[in-house]
Amino acid sequence: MTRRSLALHTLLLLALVSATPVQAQSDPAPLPASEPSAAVDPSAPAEPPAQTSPEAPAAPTPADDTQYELSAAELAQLGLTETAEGEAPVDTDLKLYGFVDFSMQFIVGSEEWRAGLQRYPSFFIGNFNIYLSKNITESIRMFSEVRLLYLPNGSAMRGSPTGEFVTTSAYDYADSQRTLRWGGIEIERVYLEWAMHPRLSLRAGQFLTPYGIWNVDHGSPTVIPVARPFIIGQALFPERQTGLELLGQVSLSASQRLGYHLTLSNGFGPVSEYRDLDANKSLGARLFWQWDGFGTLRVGVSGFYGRDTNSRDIENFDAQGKLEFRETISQQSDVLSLAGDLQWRYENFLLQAELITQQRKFTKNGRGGSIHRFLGTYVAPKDTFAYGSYALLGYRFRWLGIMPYAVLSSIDFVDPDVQTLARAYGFTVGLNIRAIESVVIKLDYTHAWWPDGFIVTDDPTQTFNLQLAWAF
Amino acid sequence: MIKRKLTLLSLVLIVVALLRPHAPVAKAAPEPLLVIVGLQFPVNDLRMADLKDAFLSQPTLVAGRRLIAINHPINTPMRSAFDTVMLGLDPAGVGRYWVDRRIRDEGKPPTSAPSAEIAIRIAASLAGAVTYGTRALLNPKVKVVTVDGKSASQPGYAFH
Repeated sequence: MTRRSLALHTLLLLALVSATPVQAQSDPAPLPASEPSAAVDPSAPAEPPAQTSPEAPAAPTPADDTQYELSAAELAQLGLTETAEGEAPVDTDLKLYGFVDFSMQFIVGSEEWRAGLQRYPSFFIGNFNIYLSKNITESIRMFSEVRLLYLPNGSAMRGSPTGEFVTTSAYDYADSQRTLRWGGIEIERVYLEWAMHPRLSLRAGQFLTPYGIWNVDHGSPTVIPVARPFIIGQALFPERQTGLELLGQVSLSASQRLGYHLTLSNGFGPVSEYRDLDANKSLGARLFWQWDGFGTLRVGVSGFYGRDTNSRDIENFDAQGKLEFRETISQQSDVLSLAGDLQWRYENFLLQAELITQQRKFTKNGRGGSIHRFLGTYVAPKDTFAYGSYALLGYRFRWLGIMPYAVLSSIDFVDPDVQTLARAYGFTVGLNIRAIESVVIKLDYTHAWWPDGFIVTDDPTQTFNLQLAWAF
Repeated sequence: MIKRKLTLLSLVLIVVALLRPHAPVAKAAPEPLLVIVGLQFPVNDLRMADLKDAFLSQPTLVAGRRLIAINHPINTPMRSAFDTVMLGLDPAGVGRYWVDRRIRDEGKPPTSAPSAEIAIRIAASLAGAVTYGTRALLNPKVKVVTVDGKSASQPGYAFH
């Protein structure tokens, strides 16, 4: 290696460094072909008085109008149908779109974890979600999202001594009685939204609980890593609710924005999608502040309070031979969930963190337990305080839209199987590659460990994930 | 020893090249962008907050009229310059931003006109429509409005 080659090498690298901003700062391409108006004097001051003053507009001839304006038909072609005076144009077409993710998961290390989660590396379609939306009027719209599932086929029957799983095999009458496996549908959200005022809308139906960042980001092309942090997966807030949601945003200034959500719903419960098993409606709220001064900083707080009831009505005949229904509560608890979140984007950096807590207090008659499937002893639920957090740091390069990221997460919760406190930590590193805006490739590795042990095993979990997600 | 120094220097320079902030496209614009509305538009000044709301697809009323944001085609110099001011994002970031918002059901992007000239003609034709452009695009059926009371020739104008 000579001094000359060293100098040459250095010069080449310096050229590389200096070439990057030159590309970014290169002069913009010529403007799209457009004919400057003859009425505009290029040497005139910034805003020609004839055009800034409505009192003295230019007076084009009728023939000029077609040159300077668009007809109603041309506007309609652009989805800008003219409506009554004062109303914005509204596109009333039914919109169909969504997202899909295809993954491969590879769990290494502990045999127990592999047996419990996934014994062999597997390919799978995780989400195939279809959105339907339509503006019914200028201020009323509907929105829905359904997830198409292979489930329940293959779902393990928990506690089955023979390790059975659900099978949905059926004979297809349209195909010579050959076997097919049917899947299900999960309604993720469906609501009617009424924009009562630019700063106030009302949703009625089923909606994602407006808390934190992750639960609203929701879709696999949007979230950065492959898997959700413990604290999100544990659902310390209900993931979605059925009821009413008031929401809106207010601009405090050009760089500051305040947003809010208020919810009234069935809350938690085994059939909360369509039935409230107690008389207490759940209340929720979210408030966030966004500042676009130094990058974009968003800080939010969320809360939820509701009663979580699991009960059933038992039919019986009374002494007079009349049918009666007796409500039997197996478990009932009051739940208070609180959360804080922060997201900061500065140029290509992303920092995102959430802290989520949940207090659960069982009612006097709602602490019903059961015989533990492994231990064979009666286990009753305890009042709990679960909490956890995660922090995600990433940087997106311009080159291929690659974002290396790292996530640190933790959770303290009550293991529902044994009703003892469990603690878990996880560390994830990975790449999120989004060279095309609608297509994302993710690769990550997660190491999770249980400092106080866990019912499955005390060994750490090590997971490799590969995901391809796309929006359509 | 020289080889090690060379490798170290190369690594440092590569990292610097990758991390070096790219100059915002807005700074490369040869002249400031003007905010343009139709002659029938009821006001001559718009708040930057309202403009931002409109271009972020938030319902926005100005003088009782719904503001309809009209963008230029993506990856054109004026669109990039405008998005840099409005969203602080480069064209690739803008694409990701709107895909993400659609998945969250937070709205769809404003209408993108097929060309800058058509954007101006929409502003001329559609009540409440607002777009942007340079002086060369103006026609007798549109007017330029000030932003937060400032015209393009004044210091502190948002789209310099």
